[in-house]
Amino acid sequence: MRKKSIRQLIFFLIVLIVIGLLLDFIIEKGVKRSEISWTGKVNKICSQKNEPQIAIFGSSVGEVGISPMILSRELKKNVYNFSIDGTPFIQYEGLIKEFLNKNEKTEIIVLAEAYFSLSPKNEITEIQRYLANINNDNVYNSLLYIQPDLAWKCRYLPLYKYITTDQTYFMNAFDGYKRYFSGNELIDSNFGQRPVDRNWEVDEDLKIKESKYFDIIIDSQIVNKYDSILKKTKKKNKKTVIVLMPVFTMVSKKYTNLEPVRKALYNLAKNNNVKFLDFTTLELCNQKEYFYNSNHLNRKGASIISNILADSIRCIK
Amino acid sequence: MLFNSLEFALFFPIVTILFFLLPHKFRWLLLLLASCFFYMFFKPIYILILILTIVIDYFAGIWIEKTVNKKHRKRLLLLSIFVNVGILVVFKYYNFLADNFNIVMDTLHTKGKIPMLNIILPIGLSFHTFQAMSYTIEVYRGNQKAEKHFGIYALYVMFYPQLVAGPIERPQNILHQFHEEKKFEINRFKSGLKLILWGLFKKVVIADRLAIAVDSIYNHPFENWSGLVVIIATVFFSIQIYCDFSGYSDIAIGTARCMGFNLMVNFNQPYFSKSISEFWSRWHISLSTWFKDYIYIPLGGNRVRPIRLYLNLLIVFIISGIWHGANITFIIWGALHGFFLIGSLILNSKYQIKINKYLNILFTFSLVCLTWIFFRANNITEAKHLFLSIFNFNQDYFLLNKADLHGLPDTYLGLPLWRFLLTLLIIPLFFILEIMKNKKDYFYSLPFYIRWIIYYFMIFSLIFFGVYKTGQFIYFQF
Repeated sequence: MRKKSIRQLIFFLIVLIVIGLLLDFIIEKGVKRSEISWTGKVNKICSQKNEPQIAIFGSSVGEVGISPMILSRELKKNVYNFSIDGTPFIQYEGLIKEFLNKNEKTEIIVLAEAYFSLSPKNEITEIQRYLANINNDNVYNSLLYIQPDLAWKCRYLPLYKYITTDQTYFMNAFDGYKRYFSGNELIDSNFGQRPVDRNWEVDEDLKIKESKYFDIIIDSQIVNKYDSILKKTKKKNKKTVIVLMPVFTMVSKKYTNLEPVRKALYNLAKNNNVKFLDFTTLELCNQKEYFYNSNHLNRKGASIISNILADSIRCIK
Repeated sequence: MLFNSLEFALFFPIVTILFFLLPHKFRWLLLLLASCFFYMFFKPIYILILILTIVIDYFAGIWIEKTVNKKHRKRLLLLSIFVNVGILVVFKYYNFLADNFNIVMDTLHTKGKIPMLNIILPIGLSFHTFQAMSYTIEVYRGNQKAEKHFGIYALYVMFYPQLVAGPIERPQNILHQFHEEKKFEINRFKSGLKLILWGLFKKVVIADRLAIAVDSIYNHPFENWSGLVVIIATVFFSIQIYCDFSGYSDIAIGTARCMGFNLMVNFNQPYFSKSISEFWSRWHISLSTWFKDYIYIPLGGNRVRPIRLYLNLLIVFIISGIWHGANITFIIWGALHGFFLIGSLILNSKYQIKINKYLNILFTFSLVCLTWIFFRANNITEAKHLFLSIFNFNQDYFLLNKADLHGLPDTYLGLPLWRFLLTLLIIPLFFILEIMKNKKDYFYSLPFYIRWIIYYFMIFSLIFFGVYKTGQFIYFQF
C-alpha cells in the first residue's frame, strides 16, 4: 500500500513536470513569434526580422518623441523605432549588442536619451518583455547587471518566470500563434513609435510644483558600457547620433545637476566621434503644448523634434 | 519567509526530509533551528523579543507549577502576562497611544508631548504572544504540566508553520506532539501536500487577484465611487481576507501535517454562518476560543445578568479589535461585531423570528461585509466616506465604469472590462469550492485521473495565473 502510494506520488510529479515543461515550451514559442507591443520589438531585434536603414533606440522618451514616418519621409530611408517604454540605456544595452551582432543593413543608429540614461537602475522594468529571449546571452547579461537574482532565476529555474508575468505574456503567445497560423504579419503604421495625441495633463502642474529638487546620479560603470557600445557601432561601420530628448523646462529646473549629465553624454560623443544633439535647450521645452507630461512629447512635439532630427542626420557625412 | 515564496518552496522539503532522516532525539533541535531561520528571514533582530518571552514564560511555567501558595502563583502568572502584554504594548500600541495622547494635549493646549518610537512591528507578534500566554495560564489552571525541556518549550512558541499567523495553539494540543516520535506516513504526507496546495491556491489565485480590485477602491476612497462599486469591492475584500488568512492556515496545517503534527482547525466555512455568533465559531477559531477561554469566561461568561453579559461581549469584541491593530478602525470593527451579536441576542430573547436559512446566511454575510469596510479602510475618515457611499442612493448608484481622463478605455474597479469580468467570476468559483469542501467523500469517489486533472489545474493556475506581486499575507501585520 505504502509502496503503491509512493509510486503514485512519483508518477504524479513526473506527469506534472512533463506537462509544465511542455506548456512552457508552447507558450515560449508563441511569445517568440509575437509582433505586438514591446515584446514584439525585442523579438524583432533578437530574430533579426527588421533591419531598417535607421534604427532608433531609447526609453519612452524616444518611443513617443521620434517619428520614423517623418524621418523616413525626409531622408528617404526606412526607419524603425525600437525604443521601449521604461527601458533606459542599461536595460537596452544587450538589445543593441544583439542588434549590432546580427545586423548588416542599418546605416545609422539613433540613441534617444533622457537625463536618467546614465543613472544606476536596480530593478528591471517589465522583465516579461524579455523572457522569451532570456536565453540570448546579450539580453540576459544586461538584465543580470540590473537585477542579478531575478534574471538568474528567470533563466535557470524552470517555470519561475511565470511569477513575473501577467496576462500580457499569454496574449503575446496567442498573438504569436495567430500570426504563425494565419501567416499575417503585423502592419505597424507607426514603425515602432507610440505617438500620443494628448495635451498637457491637468494634474501635471501640481506634480511639478510638489516635486522636490534632486541630483541625477551618473554611474561610471554605465558610462563605460555606453562608451563600449559606441565603439562597437563604430567598429561595425554604423553612424551613431546621441539625442538628449526634450524635457519641459519647469521640470528640468528641479534637477540640480544637469550640466554633468550633458557633459557626460557630450564627452562620450566627442571621444567616439559621434554626433550629439541636445534638445533640452530648444525653445519648444518652454511650451506645454508640445508635451503631455513633463518628460514626454505629444504628437505635435514629436513631429517638430523629428523634423529637426532629420535635418541633423542629413548633415552627417 | 513567506509561504508563497521560492525560498519556502526550498525550505519546506529540505526541513521535512531532514526531519524524517534524523533520529527522534535530534528532531526538536532541527525544527527549532529551522523555525529561527524562518523567523529571522523577516528581520533577524526581532528574534531577541521571542527569546525574551520564551525565557520568561518557560521559567514562569516551572515556578507556577512548583509554587503551592495561591497568591504567589497568581503573582507569577501576572508577571508573565505583564511581560507579554508589555511587549505587545511597546511594539504594537505605543505609537498609537502616544499619538492620541499628544492629540489630547494639543486640544487642551497643554505642553509636554510623548515622543514617537521609530520601530517596525515584529511580524506575527500578537500570535506568538497569545500562544505563549495560553501556556502560562493553562499551567496556572493546572490543565497543563510545565514543560521542563527548554528546547521543546521554545519550539512550542516558535514552531515555524504557525509562528507568524497561527493557528494560536494551546499547549494541551501541541506540546505533547513534540515529544512523540513521528513516522513518515505517505497518506498523511499526501493529505498535508493537498492542504498546502489548496491554501496556496486560495492565497495566490483568489485573494491576491481580488486584492488588485480592492486596493484600487480602498486606496483611493475619495474618487467618487458609486455605491455599487463600493459594495462589490467590499464583497471582494471579504473573500480576499478569508482566502488570504484561511489560505495561510491551510498551508500551516498542511506543512505541520506532512511532518506528522496536528494543528487545530482555524476556519470552518464562516460565510455560511446563519448568525454573527455562529460566524465567530467558524472564523479564526483559534483566536475566538482564546478570547472565550481567557477573557469571556473569566469575566463571567453567560452566567451573569443580561446587562453584564452584553458588556462582557462588547469588552471581548473591542479587545479583539484592538488585537488586530493599533487603529480606531479595528476597534470600531470589533465593536460593530459586538453590537450585532448583542442585538441578535436581544431580538432572539424577545421575539421568536423564523427566517429562511438562506436569507439568514445572506443577512449575516451582509453584516459581516459592512464591518469589513472598517477593517480594510486606511483610517476612520476613509471608512466613513466609503460606508456612507453605500447608502448614497443617487442616479449614478449603479455606475460601474469610470471614464479615463486620458481617453483610454473605461475601467471597472480599476480594471479593464475583461479583467473585471474574470475577477467577478472568482466569486461563484469561490462559493462552489467552499461547497465542494463538504463533499470530500464525493471528491474521493471520483476516478483518480479526474482528481489529478483538478490537482494539475490548481498547480498550473498557481504558476500561470497566480499573483505574486503583493506577496505578504494580511494577517502578518497583526
